[in-house]
Amino acid sequence: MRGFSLKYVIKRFISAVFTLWIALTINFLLPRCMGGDPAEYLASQSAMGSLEYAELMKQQFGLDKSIFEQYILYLKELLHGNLGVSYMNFPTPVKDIILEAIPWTLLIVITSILISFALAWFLGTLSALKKGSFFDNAVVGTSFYIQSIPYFWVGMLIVMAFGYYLEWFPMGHAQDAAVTGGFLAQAGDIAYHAFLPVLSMVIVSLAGRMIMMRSNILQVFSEDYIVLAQAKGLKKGKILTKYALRNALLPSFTGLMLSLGQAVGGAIATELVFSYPGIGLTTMNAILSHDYPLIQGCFAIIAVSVVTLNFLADLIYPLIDPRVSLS
Amino acid sequence: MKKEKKQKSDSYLVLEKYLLKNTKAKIGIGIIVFFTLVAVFAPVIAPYEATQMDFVPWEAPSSEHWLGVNSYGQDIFSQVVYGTRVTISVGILAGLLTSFIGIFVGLLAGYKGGKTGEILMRIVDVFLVIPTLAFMIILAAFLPSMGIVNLIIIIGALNWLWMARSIRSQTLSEARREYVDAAKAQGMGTIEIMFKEILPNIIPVVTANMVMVVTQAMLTEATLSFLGLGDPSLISWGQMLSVSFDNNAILYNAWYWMLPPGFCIATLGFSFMLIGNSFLDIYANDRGGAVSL
Amino acid sequence: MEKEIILSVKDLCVEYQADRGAVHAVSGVSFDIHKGEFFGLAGESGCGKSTIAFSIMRLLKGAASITGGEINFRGKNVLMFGKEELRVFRWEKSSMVLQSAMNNLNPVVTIGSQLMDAILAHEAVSREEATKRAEKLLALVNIDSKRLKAYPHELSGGMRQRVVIAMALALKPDLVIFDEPTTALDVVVQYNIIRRIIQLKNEMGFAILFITHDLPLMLQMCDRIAIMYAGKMVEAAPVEELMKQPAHPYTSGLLQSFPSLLGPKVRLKGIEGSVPDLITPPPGCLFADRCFARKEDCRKKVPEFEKIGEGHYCACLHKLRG
Repeated sequence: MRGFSLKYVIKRFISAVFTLWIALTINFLLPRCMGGDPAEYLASQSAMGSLEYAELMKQQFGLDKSIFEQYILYLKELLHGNLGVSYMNFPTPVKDIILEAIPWTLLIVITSILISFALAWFLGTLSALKKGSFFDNAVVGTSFYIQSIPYFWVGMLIVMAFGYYLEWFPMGHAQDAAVTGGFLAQAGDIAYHAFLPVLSMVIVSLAGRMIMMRSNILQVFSEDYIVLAQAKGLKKGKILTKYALRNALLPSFTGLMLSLGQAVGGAIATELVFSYPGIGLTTMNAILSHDYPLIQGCFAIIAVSVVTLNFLADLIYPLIDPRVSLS
Repeated sequence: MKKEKKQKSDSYLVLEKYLLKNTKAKIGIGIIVFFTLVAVFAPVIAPYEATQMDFVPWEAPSSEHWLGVNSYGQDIFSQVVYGTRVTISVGILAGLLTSFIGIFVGLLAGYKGGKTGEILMRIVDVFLVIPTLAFMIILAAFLPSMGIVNLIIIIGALNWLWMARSIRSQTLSEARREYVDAAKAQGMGTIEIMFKEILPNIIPVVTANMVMVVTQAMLTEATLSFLGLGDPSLISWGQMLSVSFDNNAILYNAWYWMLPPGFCIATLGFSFMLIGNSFLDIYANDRGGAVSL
Repeated sequence: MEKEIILSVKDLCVEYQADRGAVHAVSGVSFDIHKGEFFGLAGESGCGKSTIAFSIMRLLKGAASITGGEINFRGKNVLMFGKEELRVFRWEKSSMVLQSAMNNLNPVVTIGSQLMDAILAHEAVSREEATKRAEKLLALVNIDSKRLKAYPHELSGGMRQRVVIAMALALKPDLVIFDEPTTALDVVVQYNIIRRIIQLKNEMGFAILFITHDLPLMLQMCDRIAIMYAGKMVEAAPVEELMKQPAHPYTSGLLQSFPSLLGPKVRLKGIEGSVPDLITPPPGCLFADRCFARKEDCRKKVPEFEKIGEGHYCACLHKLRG
C-alpha cells in the first residue's frame, strides 16, 4: 500500500474546512437577508405574547450587536456545538434534537449509497460486456426513465405497493416501540423499517450510476493497455478485474463523493414519505412551525455531515488510485 | 476562406445527423410537442376547471371523470391537463436561467484557464459539495413568500454547477484547437472567441446540457412542491402529488390520484433526457471519445 | 541464405464496416518474415499497416473483420486457432509493442506486477521466480530493478516504452511486432530505444515486424522493407535494393521526398494528391491518380504483385526497372 503524502491530507482538509465555512456563512446570512430582518420577526413573536422567545432570540442572535459581531458570535457558538434552542420543543436545545435525528439519516443514506453502488457496478459491467444486446438496451432504457422520476414518487409507489397492498413492510417510522428484547431484535426491527426507504433511494440513484459505470467500462475497453493485456494472452477474468474494472471504478468513486450531497437531498423527501425520523423530516417539521434555530441547525448539520463524508472519501481515494498521492 | 462556401451544407449535415436521422431525439421531441399542445390547449382539453370543487370526493375513475375525483371534489384529469402548463413553464424557464449561468461560467473557466478558471471551478466544487436541495429548502423557508417567479429563480440559479463543469471540460479541449489560435491571431477578444468561435463548435454538448437541465428543473419543482415549498395557488404535477400525499391518498387507495402526475413528470423528463443523451452520443462518436457530463 | 520462414501472410483481406459500406482496409496482402529478420512495413497513416499487425495478433475489434487469406505461423494458420491455442500464441510466440507510450500500461498497477502477469499467465513458476525474471527483464532495457514497484505515471515516456519492450521479450517470442513504437517520443530517446531493440534482436534472435510511417528511420535499420498504399502492398525488397533501384513510382516518390537521409526529417507527405476512397475503390491501379508514370491502361487494369528480382516484388504495370 502506498502512503499518501501529508501535503495531500492538509490540502484536502483545508478545502473541506473552506467548504464548511462557506456553507455556514450562507446559513448565517440567509435569515438575515431574506424575509425581513430578525428584529421584525422578534417583534411579531413578542406580540404573540411570548416574551420568553423574544429574550431568547436576542441572546441567540445577539441582535443588539452589529452584524459582524453577530457573525463572530455565531461561529463561536457553533464551534462549541451550541446551535441554540428550539422554539417548537422549547426549551430543548437544537443540538439534542439533531443528534437524535442525524443517525437515522446517515443510516439510510449510507446504506442506500453502498447498495446502489454495488448494484451499479455489477449491472453496469454486465451491460457493458453485453453491449448492444437486448439486456443492455433494456437496462439502459429503463435507467433513463428512472432517472427522470422524482425520489418521493418512487417512495409513494413503494409505500403503496409493499406497505399498503401487500403489507410486507411497515408504511413508516424507524422503529416499533413495542419491540423490546435484545440487541438483535431491535436491530432487526430497525432494518425492517429501513428497508422500504432504502429500497426507494436505491432504485432512483441506481439508474444514473449504472449508466455512468457502463460508459466508464466501455471507455476503458478502448484503451491500449486493455488491447495489450489481451495480446499478452491473459485470461479474460484477469483482464476484466485487474485491468478494466480497477480503472473503470476510479471515476465512479469520484462520482460517489460528489453524489453524497444529492443523496442527502433525496433523503429529505424520502424521509417525509416514510415519516422517517431523520434530519429531513426534522427540517420539514421545523419549517412548518417556523422554528428558525432548528432550520438553521439542520442545514448546519447536513453541511457538516456531507463535508465530513467527502473528506473521508478524499482520504480513501489515494489508496485506490496511485496517481493521486503524488500529483 | 473556404469555410463560408461550405457553411450551408455543413449546417444541413449537422441538422440531419442530430435530428432527422436521430430516432431517439425524434421520439423525445414528439413527447415534448404532445405535452406542449396539451399545455396550450388546456382549456379546450380539460372537461372542467382545475379548481372547480363540485364533485363527489374520492370517486374512482369513470366515464365522467377519467382519472377520478380528489379529496376536495376536484376533477383529477382536468388538474393533470392544467398542471402541464406550470410544470413545463417552470422547467423551461428555470432551465434557461440555469443554462445562461452554466454556459457563461463553463466557457469562461474553460477558455480563460489560469487563475480565473481555477477560482471559478473552486467555487463550483465547493457548492457541489453542499446539498443543493437542502440549500433550496432553507432558501425557500426563509423567503417571505414563494411565488412562481421565486420558484423559477431559486431552481434556475442553483442548478448550474454540473452544467458549468461539463461545458468547461469540453471548452478546455476545444481551446487547444487550431481555429482558436487563428481567432486569437486575428485579434478577437476573449468574449468574442468564447461565444463566436468556441460555442458554435460545442453546440451539441451545450444543447444536450440545456435540455437535460430542464428535466432537472422539473424534478426540483416537483420535489419542492411536494415538500410544501412551492406556490400553493398553482396546480403543478408536483403540487398534485403533494396534496394527494397530505390527504392520505395511499390509505384511500386513490392510485388514480398519485399515478398520473408522476407518470407525466417521468415521461416528460425522460423525453428531454433522451434528446440530450442522443446528442452526446453522436458528438462523442464524432470526436472519438466519451464526453463527460 | 534461406532461413526458416516463421510468419507467412497470404492474400490477407480486412474490412471495416462503416456507415456508408465496407471499407477495404487491407486487400490481398502477402509477405513472409524469416527467422531473426528485421522486417519493415511502411506507408502513410491509414494505409492498413496497423490493421495487419492487429490481424496477426487476432486483436481486431468491433467493426473490423478478416474476410480472406491466411496468416501462417510456422506453418499453422493463426486464423484457425482455438481459444487456448490463441492464448498461447499471443505473447509466447508473438508479442507486440503499441504506439502510445502513455497508454500501453495500466495506470493503477505497478509495472512489476504487469511484467509478472505476462510471465505467470504462460508459465508455471512461483511468484519469487517471476519477480526475479521481471528484474532481469528490466535490466535488459537498462532500468533499475528497484523500479518494479513503480507505477507507470512515475516513469518518463521513454522509460515506459522500454518497460513495454521488456514485457514483449518476457517469454522469448519468435516474433515481436512494433507498431510505431517511438512516434510519441522525442528523437534522442527514440534513437536510444531503437538501438537497444537492434542489440536485443541480435542477442536473442527474434524476428521483428516494424511498422512506421517514418521511412528514413526504417531504411537505417531494417533488413527488408515492404511499402503499402491504400490497403495494398506495392513493393517489397531488401533495403539496399529498394534504396538504389525502387521499381514502383510510389516508392520512388517517397524516397525522393526526403532530401537526404541525414538531413532534416520529413514525413511521408511529399506526393501530390490524396488516397482514393476505400469503400468504392476505382478500377485499375489505386495509385494511378497521383502517379507521375501513369499511362492509359493504369486506370483499367489492376497490377499483379509479382517477383522482379531476388526477394524483390512489385505491383505496377509500368515498373521503373526490370
